[in-house]
Amino acid sequence: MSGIVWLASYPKSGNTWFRAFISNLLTNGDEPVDVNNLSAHGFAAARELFDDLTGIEASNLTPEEIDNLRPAVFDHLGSQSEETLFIKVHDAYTCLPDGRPLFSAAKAKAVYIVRNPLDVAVSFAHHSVRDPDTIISWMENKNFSFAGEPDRLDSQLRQKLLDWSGHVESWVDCPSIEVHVVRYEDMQTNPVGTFSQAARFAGLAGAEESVRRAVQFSDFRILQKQEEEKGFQEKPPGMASFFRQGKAGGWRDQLTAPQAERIKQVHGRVMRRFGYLD
Amino acid sequence: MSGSQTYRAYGLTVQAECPLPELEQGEGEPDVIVRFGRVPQTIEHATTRMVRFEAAPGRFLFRVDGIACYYVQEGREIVVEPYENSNGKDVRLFLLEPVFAALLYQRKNLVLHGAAVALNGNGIVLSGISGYGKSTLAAKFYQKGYAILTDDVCPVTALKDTPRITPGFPALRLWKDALKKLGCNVDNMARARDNLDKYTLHVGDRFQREPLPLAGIYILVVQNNADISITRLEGIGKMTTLMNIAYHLGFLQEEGGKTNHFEQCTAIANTVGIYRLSQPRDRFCAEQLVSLIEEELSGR
Repeated sequence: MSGIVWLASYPKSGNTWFRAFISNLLTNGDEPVDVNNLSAHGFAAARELFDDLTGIEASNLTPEEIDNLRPAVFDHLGSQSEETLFIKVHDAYTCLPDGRPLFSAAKAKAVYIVRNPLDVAVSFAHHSVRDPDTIISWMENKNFSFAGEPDRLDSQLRQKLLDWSGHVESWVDCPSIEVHVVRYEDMQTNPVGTFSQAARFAGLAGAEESVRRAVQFSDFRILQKQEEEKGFQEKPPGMASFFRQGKAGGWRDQLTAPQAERIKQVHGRVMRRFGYLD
Repeated sequence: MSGSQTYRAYGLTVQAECPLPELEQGEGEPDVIVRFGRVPQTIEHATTRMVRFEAAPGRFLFRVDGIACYYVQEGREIVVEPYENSNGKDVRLFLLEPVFAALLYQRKNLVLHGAAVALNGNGIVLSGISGYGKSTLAAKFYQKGYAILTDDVCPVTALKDTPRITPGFPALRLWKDALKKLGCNVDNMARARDNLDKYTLHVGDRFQREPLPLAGIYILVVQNNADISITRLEGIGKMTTLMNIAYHLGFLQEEGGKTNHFEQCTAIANTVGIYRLSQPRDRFCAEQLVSLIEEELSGR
């Protein structure tokens, strides 16, 4: 089957963990895949992908000109590939000014990974080496972008993330693309069931034994051990380790009561929807 | 061609209907004609069709929305069809780099994606993923008194004798942030495009006009650890690296072009040092990288 399965999430919500699972399932080997060489197929905001498929260097275009071409890039990618491509996305599902969706629905579906925003805030703060208050305000900012600084060239294309609630709803309620939602917390408490369901949705109906092994090979402790031994190329500078705790509820020791309250106030509606708030 | 002017770029004499102020004046019989005209909607029997370019042997069609369509034929002619109200500077930006790269491929050149600098009578290529600082490092060499051969499109010929780099044209394009780190004031500089924070640094005063022997290829990489390091590649790693730093290899659709490309890469891999130059992600270290390359070259 050709086409694209978007592996979409807000940052620090388990995307890499999920990609490690998919890569292990695709490889179906006797040992865990190398976390620095995941076979799940790339990143929607990679500059090289855009440059290669358009022939135009994105570094000579404005972010708006780039966004204008991205749907055609994704269409091309999805229609030319002989196998299903699993591609990481942190962009929110948005539409261009002319109404075209950034991620076209042609031969595409999405797995959306959602995580309790209280834990996202803590993990994102460690990732960005910022204090939680800064991150909490990023998560409230409806205009928040990655790689959006106009005066420099980032190795990633500009990605509009919206605020945390906006990001979740942009994908989960997307009318034009089939979306399977995975909760990070369920990946922890019921890994085999959760990953199996997602794999079936993605068209990877492997034998149960293969799924079990892929779950085992993408266990958080294995990812952590690989990072300790060889480092992890996606780790940003200044951050002690990418695979840090990988647990749910860590926010209780890391956020102050007012910080947690602020997140619940702003994102309460969406948190309730996914069982993060009574 | 009436009203046309003659220029020099990528080792070629270029006759153009429109002014190309980025290029130096040339003279003599043209190797290449640049003219305005209608370009075909599509290339029949194209051997590749990508998002904004398609090609077949001797033919290349390229579209930059809102700016221009370009059609390159037989390594001899470039037809430019600008969009209504497009900006001439934008039209030239895409003409002088990707479109000329396609023309060079049609002329059987090996085209690398990188900047090139002259050091002690030799040329070195600085390559790597966009955003890793090729042009910035070239600008640092320029500030230290070295001459520039090219910024982004780097033609190399490697079959008949020692591999040689052919000069492009005398400009580097740099982002505002990089220019600030290099200590340049952008107030008096022209933007590469009016709506980008990217500027043109003219290097006509230290531009290497003649080809130079290729003495080394340096691939810039960014890593998370804090150290700067240089690693000499060996064996098959040299070949894969060279194949990866071609300028949009999809542009190359000539008969026998891929074989020719492979042979030229082999000739380079057999005779030229290829190095991985690692720099930390969070620190600007162009000065140290220049010293590292100087030391490496002088120690040979």
